[in-house]
Amino acid sequence: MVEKVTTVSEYVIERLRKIVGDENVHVKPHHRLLRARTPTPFPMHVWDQHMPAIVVLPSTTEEVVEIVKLANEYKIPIVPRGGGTGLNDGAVPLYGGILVDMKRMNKILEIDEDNMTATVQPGITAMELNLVLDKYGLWFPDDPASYGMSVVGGRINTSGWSLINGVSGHTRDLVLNFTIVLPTGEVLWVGEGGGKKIRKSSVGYNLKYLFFGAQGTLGIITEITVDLFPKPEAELPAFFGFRSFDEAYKALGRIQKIGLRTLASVILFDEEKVEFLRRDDEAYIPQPKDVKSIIATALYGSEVEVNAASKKLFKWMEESGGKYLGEELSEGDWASRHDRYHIPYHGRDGEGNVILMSWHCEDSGIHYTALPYIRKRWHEAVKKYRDKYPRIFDDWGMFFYNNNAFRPWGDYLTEIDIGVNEFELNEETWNAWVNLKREISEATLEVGGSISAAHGATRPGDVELIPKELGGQWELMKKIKKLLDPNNIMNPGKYLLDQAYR
Amino acid sequence: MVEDVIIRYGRFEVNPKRMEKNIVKNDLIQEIDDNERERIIYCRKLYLEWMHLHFAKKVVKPPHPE
Amino acid sequence: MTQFISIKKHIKEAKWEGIARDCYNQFACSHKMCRTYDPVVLATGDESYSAYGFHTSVLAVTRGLAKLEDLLDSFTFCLECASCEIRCPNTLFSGDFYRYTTTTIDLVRFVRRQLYEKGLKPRNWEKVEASLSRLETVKKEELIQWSRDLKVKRDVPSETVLLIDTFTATQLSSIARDITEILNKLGIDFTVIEPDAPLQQEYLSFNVELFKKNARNLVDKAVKLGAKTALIINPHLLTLLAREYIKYNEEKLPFEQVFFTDYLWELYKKGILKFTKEINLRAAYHDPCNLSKLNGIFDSPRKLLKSIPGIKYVEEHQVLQWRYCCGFGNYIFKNINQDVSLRIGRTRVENAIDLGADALVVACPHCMDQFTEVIRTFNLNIQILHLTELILKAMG
Repeated sequence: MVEKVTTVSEYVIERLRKIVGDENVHVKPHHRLLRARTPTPFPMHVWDQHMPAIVVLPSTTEEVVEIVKLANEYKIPIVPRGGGTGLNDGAVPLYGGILVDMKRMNKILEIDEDNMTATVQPGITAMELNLVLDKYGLWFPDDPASYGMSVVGGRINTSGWSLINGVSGHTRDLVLNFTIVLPTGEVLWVGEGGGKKIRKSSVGYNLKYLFFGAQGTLGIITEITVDLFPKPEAELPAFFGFRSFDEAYKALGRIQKIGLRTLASVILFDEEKVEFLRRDDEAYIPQPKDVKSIIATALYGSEVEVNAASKKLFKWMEESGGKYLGEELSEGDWASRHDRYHIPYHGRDGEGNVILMSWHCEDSGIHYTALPYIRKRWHEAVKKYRDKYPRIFDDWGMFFYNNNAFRPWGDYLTEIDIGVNEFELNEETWNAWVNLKREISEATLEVGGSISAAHGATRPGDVELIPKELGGQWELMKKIKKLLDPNNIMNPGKYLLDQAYR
Repeated sequence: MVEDVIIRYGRFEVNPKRMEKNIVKNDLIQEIDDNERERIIYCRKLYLEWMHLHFAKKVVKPPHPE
Repeated sequence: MTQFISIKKHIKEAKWEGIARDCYNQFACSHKMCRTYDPVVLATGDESYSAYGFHTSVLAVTRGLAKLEDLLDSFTFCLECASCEIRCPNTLFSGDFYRYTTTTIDLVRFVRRQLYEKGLKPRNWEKVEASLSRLETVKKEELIQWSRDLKVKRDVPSETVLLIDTFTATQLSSIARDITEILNKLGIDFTVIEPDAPLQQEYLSFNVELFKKNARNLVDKAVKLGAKTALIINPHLLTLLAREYIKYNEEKLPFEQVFFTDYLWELYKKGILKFTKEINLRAAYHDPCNLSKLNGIFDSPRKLLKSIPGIKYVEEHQVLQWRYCCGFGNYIFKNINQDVSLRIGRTRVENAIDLGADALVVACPHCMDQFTEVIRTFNLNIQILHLTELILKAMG
């Protein structure tokens, strides 16, 4: 059984210093406390319980191998950290240990214009990569809310979701192969068969997808080859207002079937979300009172395709009861899609006064026909806890995003935004928060959805339901985990995988 | 709860009354003047313009004029 | 251009409870846009030195989970460049909505002051003291040497005063000389003022009283000469007068300040400043942090540069420039983190070279100094030119 390691010996510190260099080892508490959380409601009252014992910043595969071997030797847990922007707790240390911060490994190793690939280190953000690719007229279209902050290695480990997946898929559709340091220190190259620039192979087991969504429990990725797109000629964001959620929901069902290849993103804002925007959205542009629900769309592609598609899209929307909300809102809101809800002033206490609340977005994968039921259940759940703790919780409404790569139909990343007054959390309200999360996830499982479409489900409130959601898959997960990580040192405690060792 | 924001100095702001109890009383509000506001708005416009250019070569117009 | 007012009471009055809640704002956000545009984080890969990193460190101290002394070295890693302040969505998207912005620089300086008061000095502090001492011990004759053969007025009343800071006067006097020649050629009536004692941003990190005294001195000198407009050539001085004077001296400036690029652009628009000589150069322009991010002046230097005949301007979107800094920052950063400082400068210069520029044009004496050191240290093939030099040449 792995044990929590809150301090490491001077000898271990010295060895780590020799591996990565003095200035790339952090022992002082503030460096470690900083890396204790990700942007999800965090139990502030027990902050120090999530501190790693030490932080290291490697810059090569060889350094990572040495660190992992050392961890195995002394049975010290390792937590890999990419951007630290994951929306579940993949990068939150549960057993202290060595936090391996990968952001020094941020170089571009190769750009192959002819074969349309780029090979990068895992600590690079999509934005930094795209700033270079721009010069070639190329694009790495992985576009999460954390665009610019999340790093490619982390995107693999969370099996990242992309806002524009309608045209370019998700992270798993954009990665050809990678090198991973397994929990034993062994270095493995994983791809499509053995093809270095191959997108699809039928040779051998397809082990690549095993590592997507592993949340750092199966190793540390040190090099990645990604697929590239030509930079789109044209973009058209278009927001449409509806008189009710029901009307917008029906329109959503119709849009699924238009068949536009340039339709990158379809996002439904429910009525509570539009009310929240009227009140607390800094990109706010006044809308007529009869706009109760919104569908936001974005088209990307060649100019000729986008222009033709826009005519059909607008006609379709208007026939479905949607009213175009104008260029200022559409363009402004779309361009600020990565920049929302950061300052924790968006919350309101029970009397409507602004109060510090941190943003949490609870997500699930829900198929189209179950959306209205889930909406009702989730709002009811949040209301229950808000009524009991009006200073602690707030309902900021729901979004429903297209989830099905390259086609805007079928299932939706269903998100409810909840304000949580982290600053004032104590044990009772923290447990209330965990219970709320669990109720939300239970509703998801009730309709046959998946607890998380985009973030992962390692947090308390979600993780207890993993065996229920995955069934036999979780049993196999435990076997694989034990096979690859005999000492349980690689991000232990996530996904209840400690149970593999009992 | 539904409420409208206010317009002050030609910009949108949260109604200051709503900031009193939990924010102003805890000194979490800040003294900001018009010059600072103008700088923020100018930089925001620059940033939004750049966001479009970063993802595509141009933003095309919608099919119907407003 | 008048003053920017962005003041947080709890930092001003050292109220730890307010500071804790303010720092919590960044910790709770934790989306880290600040990091994306932070030149130090981009150079080191270390999020400890981001706005988020600094605020969280202080929050940890307020919670008793870290000691203030631990922060000593970390807090030397702030360039005071305001990238995080401008890019943070708290500022960019909410600053004018909730009337709250991210103010990392004020926090960093506050923490440095607290540490200094406890008698704690970071490593290599003696180098910082040496750099400041070099400016503090300048004698009057040395201070005015730069104008020895130029037609200048001193101690003579004028509505327009040209403020030449101590660094420019003694270590990069070509800029002072060039601007004087430009003004003289344009027939502008002005009087020159050099501060009796240097006005340095570093004082705000360990000796606010000295800052206040020297600022008061400089302002009084200008007022005595009847100044209505102060013409400034060092963006660092602009920041100190436009943003910090009101914060620390607690009064508005009794005159307008204008940066030389805004001033000259107005004259160009009126047809008073004319460019008659061609300068054939592919030129990129570097936004000085203290001019662009801290004071919102982006346009006039670019417009001036583009108006010079023969200049082929190498375009780069202003927002991308938020990620750059020459790497100087302030003497604390520069002297204590010399290696990172040069790396940051190198990134910026290499980018200009990649864009095909023959020259990187600057509008700040510290950028000029720093980039010159960078191209020498790394053997980089590009010229570093100050805008005043090009303007003077183009005037014929």
